Amino acid sequence: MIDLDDNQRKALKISLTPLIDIVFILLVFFMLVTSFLKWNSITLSSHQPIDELQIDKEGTLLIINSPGNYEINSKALTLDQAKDLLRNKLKSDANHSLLIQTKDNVPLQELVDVMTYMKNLMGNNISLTKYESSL
Amino acid sequence: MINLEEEKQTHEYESILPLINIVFLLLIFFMLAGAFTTPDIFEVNPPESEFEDKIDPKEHLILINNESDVAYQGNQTSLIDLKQIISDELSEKDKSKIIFKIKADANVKANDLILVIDLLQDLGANNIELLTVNN
Repeated sequence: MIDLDDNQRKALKISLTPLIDIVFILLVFFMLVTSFLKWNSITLSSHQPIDELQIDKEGTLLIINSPGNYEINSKALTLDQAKDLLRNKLKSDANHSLLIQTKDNVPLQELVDVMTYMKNLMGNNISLTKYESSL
Repeated sequence: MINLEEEKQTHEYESILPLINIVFLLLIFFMLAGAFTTPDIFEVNPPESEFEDKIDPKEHLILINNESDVAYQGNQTSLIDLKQIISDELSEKDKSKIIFKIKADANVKANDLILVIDLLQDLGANNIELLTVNN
């Protein structure tokens, strides 16, 4: 049997301090480089710019003038009214599509909100189209 | 005889053991629950939506910040250069397998996003996703 004297026994004790240091450094590293954001995605497609004569053939054109200010066929309406209108059009044409046009200062969040609102009704039949002044 | 010095040292370790346990638990939590992220070339606050199509925002990532600066795969670029880079990329790979992901700021003009989508579609890229985060 190995006979250790007191001094040897003390020397064999492992200090916890370096271990804690390393664990803290690892913890800080993982806290800084990890992200908990859950990314979602919206499928996008754009449509060639259209004129008013083509609108009925191609689908319904919803223009976003500014956040909360929408129009279809030059008529101002709310998103609920727009949805009702589209629901009626889908009854006669199941492949009816929605074209969304945004005026110059409309932020992306507004466009995403409108697309989210229309998604359950229109599915993937939503396209974006350029506003004339940005051509 | 009681060795007071040794007993005192043991007590010191016992007092920090709960701390070490918590730190270990936190470390394991961050290692398992988070995902590694690399910082973007410029700050982008993506729009919020309730869409639930999960996506991995790593490859073929186009960034657009609120000043409408564009970056592709971590390098800032102009729209003209972006067109050239993507055109080269599409000629080398199968177009149908490439999904372009756009991470745009919620405050960017929606029309600037549509310009980028048009550019991609003109080059034959039809799989385009806009990244959003949960509300």
